[in-house]
Amino acid sequence: MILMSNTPVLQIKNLKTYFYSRDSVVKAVDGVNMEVHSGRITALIGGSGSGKSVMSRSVMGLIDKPGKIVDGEIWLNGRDLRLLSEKEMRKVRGKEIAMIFQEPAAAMNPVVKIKDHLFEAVHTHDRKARRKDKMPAFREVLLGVGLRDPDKILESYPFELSGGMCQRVMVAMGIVANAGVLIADEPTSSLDLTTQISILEELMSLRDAGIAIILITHDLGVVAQTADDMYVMKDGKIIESGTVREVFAAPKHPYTRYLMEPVHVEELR
Amino acid sequence: MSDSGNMVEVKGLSKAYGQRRQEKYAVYNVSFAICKGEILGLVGESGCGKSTLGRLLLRLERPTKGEIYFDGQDITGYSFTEMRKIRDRMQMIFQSSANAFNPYYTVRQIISEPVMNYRKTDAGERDALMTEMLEKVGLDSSYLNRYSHELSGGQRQRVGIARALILGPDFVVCDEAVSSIDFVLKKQILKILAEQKKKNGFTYLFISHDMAAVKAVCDRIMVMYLGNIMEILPEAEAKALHPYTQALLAAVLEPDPNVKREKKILFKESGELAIPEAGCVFWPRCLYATETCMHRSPELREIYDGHFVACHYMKNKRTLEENA
Ligand SMILES: Nc1ncnc2c1ncn2[C@@H]1O[C@H](COP(=O)(O)OP(=O)(O)O)[C@@H](O)[C@H]1O
Ligand SMILES: Nc1ncnc2c1ncn2[C@@H]1O[C@H](COP(=O)(O)OP(=O)(O)O)[C@@H](O)[C@H]1O
Ligand SMILES: [Mg+2]
Ligand SMILES: [Mg+2]
Repeated sequence: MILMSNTPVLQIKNLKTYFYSRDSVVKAVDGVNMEVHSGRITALIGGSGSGKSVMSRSVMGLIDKPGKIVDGEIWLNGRDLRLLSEKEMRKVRGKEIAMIFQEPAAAMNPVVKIKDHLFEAVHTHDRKARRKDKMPAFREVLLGVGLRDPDKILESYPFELSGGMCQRVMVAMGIVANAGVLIADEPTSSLDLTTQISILEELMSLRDAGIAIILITHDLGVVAQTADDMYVMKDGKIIESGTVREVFAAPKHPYTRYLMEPVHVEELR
Repeated sequence: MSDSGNMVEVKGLSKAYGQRRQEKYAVYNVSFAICKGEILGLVGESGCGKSTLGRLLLRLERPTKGEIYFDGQDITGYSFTEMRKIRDRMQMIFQSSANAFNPYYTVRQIISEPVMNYRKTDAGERDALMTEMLEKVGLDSSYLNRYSHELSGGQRQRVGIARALILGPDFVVCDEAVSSIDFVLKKQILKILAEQKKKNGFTYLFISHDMAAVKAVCDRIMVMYLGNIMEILPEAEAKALHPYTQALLAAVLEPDPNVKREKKILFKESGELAIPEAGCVFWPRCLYATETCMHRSPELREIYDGHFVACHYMKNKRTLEENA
């Protein structure tokens, strides 16, 4: 039985991340406030380019030039991540907070085997873990995300797998990281519906085990069927938030209403 | 020879990859037609042969067996030069087409290429044509001088559509053209495609794993599994009769938190997806498979008006459903 506390495990206050070029500034994240609770799935939705990935990477401390966090606080387990050194941040990443990246191909070293990627995700928080002991658990997790031949996958390199398979491996890495907060950046967007279901069910069981999940998606079906809370982002700002039931029942912002209005079948045919 | 109401028709079409013993069918013995002015949806899990079938219809690949008719002409054995004469009547839009352009090409260069290849026009006529097309996809002539790399993903996707539609093709294959793009853009693109169909009578094969998009725009839906056609639904809302289609539809998530998804698993998880030695391709994962299914492959039969199903046990399944 999980005790739901009212204190958010992750609290983002007035976060601003800008990208600078010679003659312009892109305000990718522009004053975001967000609260994420343990044992709940918090959906983050918004059109592409609205700043969802940049916000996530800001929380992970992974913003590089020409980008910069210019303002705000990121409170995780009682401390502001913005005040940590890169060395301290490296300990936080993977241990307290992990992320499933939107572009798995870019996030995985192509010459490192899948089993070593998975082991790295474990080793970050469990220094005593031994590779050999972990293999059965890895097989289970790979099966759980719908990869049917785990032994072959473990011995493969990322470039030998299809994009969809890499995406599932990325989810598996997020799961074995066993961090208290998991950010999943569009983890199912290019997958078959049948595979999508198995991945969402894995995420829901992590949620039920008490983990806080930020689920970035552009699929309202996914939000409605899996998430507890939701935030709608547009042009770097949060324009609406609430529980999923509240927002679906009565979307306040015109943009949210536009998103929710179904594609009119008759009009299209 | 072919019925003039069909834009495309194929008979016993197969495509195998690989050499002799190793050969594997990506598309196996499919027969169907796409009527003029209709959008036929094509769904199925990845690797089931959707893209291969799309490429075969446009003769971007040579079939291993079977016949392909395009507007009544048998194009199965057409040479490159013969195909070139009708290429402007068929087009393909695919997901990655947005990224396929040279980033240092301007929109003008990208869109004018097919026009220059197939139409005798002067620069003024071309610009007028391009402007008209850009406006149809929600852009304007100010984009002509922009470089591809300066555009957002959504803008590039529209440029790809403009390029595909500028010659006014009769037949367009959309291969995952709206998959994994955000909802705002998806809505816009579905609208563009549907409008073009209405106004210009284009015929489409709409390939997608996004059931909601397919249901929104398609007149009929064809379901494939491991290279075989399992079912053809006569309309988007028709009740699925094949167990595989039912399983696919059960995986669709309703965008309504008050409708709870039933945790029903409608097929068996198996090892690697592989074509079984004999029988129905779906039997290893089918919940209703019997001895017959393991030995005899079912034919695609018309169950009633335009509803085709490849399954031995139509009757039993309907009874099962009714009792469920
Ligand atoms: N490395 C970068 N350099 C410059 N601009 C960037 C960079 N990364 C992201 N952006 C800009 O930040 C904005 C938000 O992007 P992103 O967070 O990726 O959007 P989303 O994930 O919501 O689709 C976009 O306008 C994008 O162009
Ligand atoms: N050029 C090719 N050479 C060998 N095998 C191929 C080739 N193209 C596709 N295949 C195989 O054919 C099958 C169907 O692929 P594809 O048509 O791309 O499926 P879908 O578009 O439904 O995902 C897959 O098993 C794929 O690996
Ligand atoms: Mg993103
Ligand atoms: Mg494909």
